[in-house]
Amino acid sequence: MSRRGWSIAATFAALSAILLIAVVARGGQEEPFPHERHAGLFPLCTGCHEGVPTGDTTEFYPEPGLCVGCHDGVQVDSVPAWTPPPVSEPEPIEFTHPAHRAATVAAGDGELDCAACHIAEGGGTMAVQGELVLDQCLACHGHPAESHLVDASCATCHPPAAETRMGGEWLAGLPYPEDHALGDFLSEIHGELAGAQPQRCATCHTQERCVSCHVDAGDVGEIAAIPAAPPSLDLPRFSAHYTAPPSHAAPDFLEAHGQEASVAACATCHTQDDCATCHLGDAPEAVAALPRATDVMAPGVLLSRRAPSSHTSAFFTEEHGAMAAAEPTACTSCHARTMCTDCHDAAAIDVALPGALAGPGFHPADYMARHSAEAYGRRLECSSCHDVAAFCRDCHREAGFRAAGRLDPGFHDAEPVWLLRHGDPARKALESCATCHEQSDCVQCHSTVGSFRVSPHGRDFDARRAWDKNPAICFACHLESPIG
Amino acid sequence: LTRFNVERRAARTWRAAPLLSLTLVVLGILPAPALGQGARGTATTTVRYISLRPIALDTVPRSETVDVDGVPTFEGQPVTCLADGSTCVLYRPLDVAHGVVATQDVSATAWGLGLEGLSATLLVRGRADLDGDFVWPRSDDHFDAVLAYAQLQRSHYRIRAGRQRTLSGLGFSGFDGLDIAVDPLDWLRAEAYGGRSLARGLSEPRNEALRGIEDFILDQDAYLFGGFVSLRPRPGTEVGVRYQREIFADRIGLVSERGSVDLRSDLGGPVRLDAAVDYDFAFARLGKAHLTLRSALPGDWGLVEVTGRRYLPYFELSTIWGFFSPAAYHEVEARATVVRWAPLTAWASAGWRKYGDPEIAVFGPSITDESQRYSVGGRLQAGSVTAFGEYRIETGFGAYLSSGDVEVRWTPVRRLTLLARGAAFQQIAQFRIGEQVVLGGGLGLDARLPAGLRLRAGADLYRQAYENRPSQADWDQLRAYSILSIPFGEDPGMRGRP
Repeated sequence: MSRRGWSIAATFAALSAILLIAVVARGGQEEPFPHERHAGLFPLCTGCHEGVPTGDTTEFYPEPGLCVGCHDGVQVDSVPAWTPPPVSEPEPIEFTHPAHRAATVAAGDGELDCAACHIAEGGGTMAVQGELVLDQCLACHGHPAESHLVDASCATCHPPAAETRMGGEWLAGLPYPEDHALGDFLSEIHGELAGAQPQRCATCHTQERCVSCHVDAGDVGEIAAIPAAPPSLDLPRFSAHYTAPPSHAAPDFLEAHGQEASVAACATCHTQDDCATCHLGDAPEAVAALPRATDVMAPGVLLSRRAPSSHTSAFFTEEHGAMAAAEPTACTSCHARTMCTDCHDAAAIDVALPGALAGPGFHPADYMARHSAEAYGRRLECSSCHDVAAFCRDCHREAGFRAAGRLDPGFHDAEPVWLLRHGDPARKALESCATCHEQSDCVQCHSTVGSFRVSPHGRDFDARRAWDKNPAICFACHLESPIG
Repeated sequence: LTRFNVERRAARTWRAAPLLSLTLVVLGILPAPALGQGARGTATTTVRYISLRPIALDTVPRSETVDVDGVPTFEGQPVTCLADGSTCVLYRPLDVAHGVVATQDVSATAWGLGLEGLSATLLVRGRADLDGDFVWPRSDDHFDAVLAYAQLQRSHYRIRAGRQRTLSGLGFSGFDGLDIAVDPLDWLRAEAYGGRSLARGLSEPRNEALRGIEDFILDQDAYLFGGFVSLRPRPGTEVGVRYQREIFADRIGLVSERGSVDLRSDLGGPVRLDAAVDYDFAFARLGKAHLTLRSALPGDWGLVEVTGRRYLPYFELSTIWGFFSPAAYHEVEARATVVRWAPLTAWASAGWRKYGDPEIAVFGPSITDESQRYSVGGRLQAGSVTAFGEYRIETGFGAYLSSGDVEVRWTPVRRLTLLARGAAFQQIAQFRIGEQVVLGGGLGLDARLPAGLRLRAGADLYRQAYENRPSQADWDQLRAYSILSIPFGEDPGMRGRP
């Protein structure tokens, strides 16, 4: 037998077993009625099952007393007392005899007799096999698939799960069709299938299954097409399963996702609350348009924050300033502004210069000992953060470095005639001078009333311009307006 | 000096009072339920121990000096003899002094104040000298309200009111006032701000912070106004133009008038350009400028960058320093960082600098106008251990520095890092005799405690030795620090997660 043949056989065997179990369960432990032995006695099925064609359940089975008419223990051996089983249409098949008969008539097939379904092909009169001969059903309702659990019009036989009387536990135990096991079933396939064959989904699922994952379930037509479960259906608790679509695996997805963000693209899986994991403050429009977690049944993807790929660059420290300047809102999406000032605040404590030894502050641990050379170096402008007079000179005063006047000699002892040579280094490092010297030290010579009246101005100094900008400071050195 | 310090301390205490009161009032009037909707902050307590050895000017009789090659010396140290011919002066080291200074920072941001996008930010700082022989700079200024502003941040605009500061190519500019920023288009951002100016680096109004600090400083408040326009002609490129001026309250003149242009671009390829220049309108001269080209090396080798830099210090019009025509320097520096051998990161740099003409005839030998700087370093991470090392040498104008640093960090458990560091350097001040050699090291720890607390502590001991400077006896400098950070509230971004 071919592999396909084995599959069909196995499927039929499984179905038969299910039906047999159902019959046994319904009929208790009683022996099934030996129809063939009574073949000559009952020429018509409706002789005993009169109500079947009409759907009259009270006439589905004969009166129990009918058996005693013959099996009186005299003419014929008596039989155990028999009671007709309760009547119900088969589960989980959507089937009623009258409807089925009507359908076949409407299809032009005429009225089917009972043997068409209940007696195997070639079987003799009253060779009834259980309640149903599945081959006979599939002779009309069959389909080319290897398993009936795939790619079939389920609704032909099965009622929607929302209408089943089998219970939620039974629903939950239904086997999965093979396509459900495909790797991209959740992310790609199931949506397309639901759009094309919502009845197929509804065979095993109620709307609650969809709503448990889909944040935007209320806006999805395919989900609306799947009936919701009645309160009486004891559905199990569904857990949400989210799979990241392929787009999310792109290296720059975090940086670029805002360009594609929209309700249509994101609301299947994400609530506003998901986005708020990273987006602080004033949310982007796409985020604001998403449902809130409190307004939907689905939990949404519970995101955890991770740094964008740009942050893992070896040069992020060097580059983040330019990035922040280019896209400041991108930073504030995740970072409270105080995180910037943690570093970009010279007086802050919790920082260190990049690449420097860890110290208790912005500067490295031994900075006090070496800062004079660094200050001469002037790669950073000390006065951006430190007031020269209030900070540098204050400390130098405490340490004894502060100059006490113009002619206070002795400190620059490597230059015996420092007073005559100081102009060159002073112009190159005026900030360093100001950390020890007050302005009044210099004015002793560099003013119109000073002892030497040495002009401190360079060749390109524009006196008129300076006067226009702030005339008051001119009088620090000039008794009269320097521009006449 | 003592009287000076006492007066300043008294003045600062007085001016701290209204700010402290203001802060308490602000905190008090904020409705508790509103604060409860979201607030995040950190209280950081820092205590430092510092030792230093002051120097003091001393005199010696000329008769006790010895001439060496025509230079009078005392105990081997050159001295300067005064015009009277009988007295010479020199600086002598004093006894080692100690100090313990504490800083308390409290920063907080509150949101959920009833209007979407509205938040309030506060950063206050207290300082105190706990013990010791000297006053650490500004520790007698016991209170600063560094930041205290309310902010409304929406998609296309931001309004901020209160004590705040801008950070730009012009440096930090603090003010009490209003800042409005709008970005109506993807490629355009504009900002305007203004208010009462704060003294540079002091976080206090000028007339309060600078009163009595020095002659020629006008006892005047000042107002600051500025504007900034940023254009993004294409993704990856941004150019910004800023203009800012400070004017004295009585409009007698300007404190400053400056502008800057910033340009950043990826140049449409792997090379990134970062350039900035600022201009001082008051003196009609360029200030600082730089142009950096940065590119990743092929094959994930790392990064290389070349920078051209100009530096001219900025001085306000309120001092005479800017009128002394400072000379700028220009520098070219190249730096390469290699990450190919991860987890080892290595770097090296070299720079050459030349100062502009100071336009002054130098009496005697010329003074160098060039300098060079070189560095090489690396960082290696192996498991829970990270090692860092760097050697730098800087020669040229003003000072010579040759320094090496090493540091090893060990994280035996996730919440604890232990570190050991060492440093050795030689420093020569160009205009002072002798060279300083320092050798030292220290130990530290960085512990993450429950409830988000973080404790950092360490101590370092540096042996300071002097060559060719007889009066400067070697001594040991001890420094120690302890920093405890206590977070409170909820991080709006991290939602309390680490």
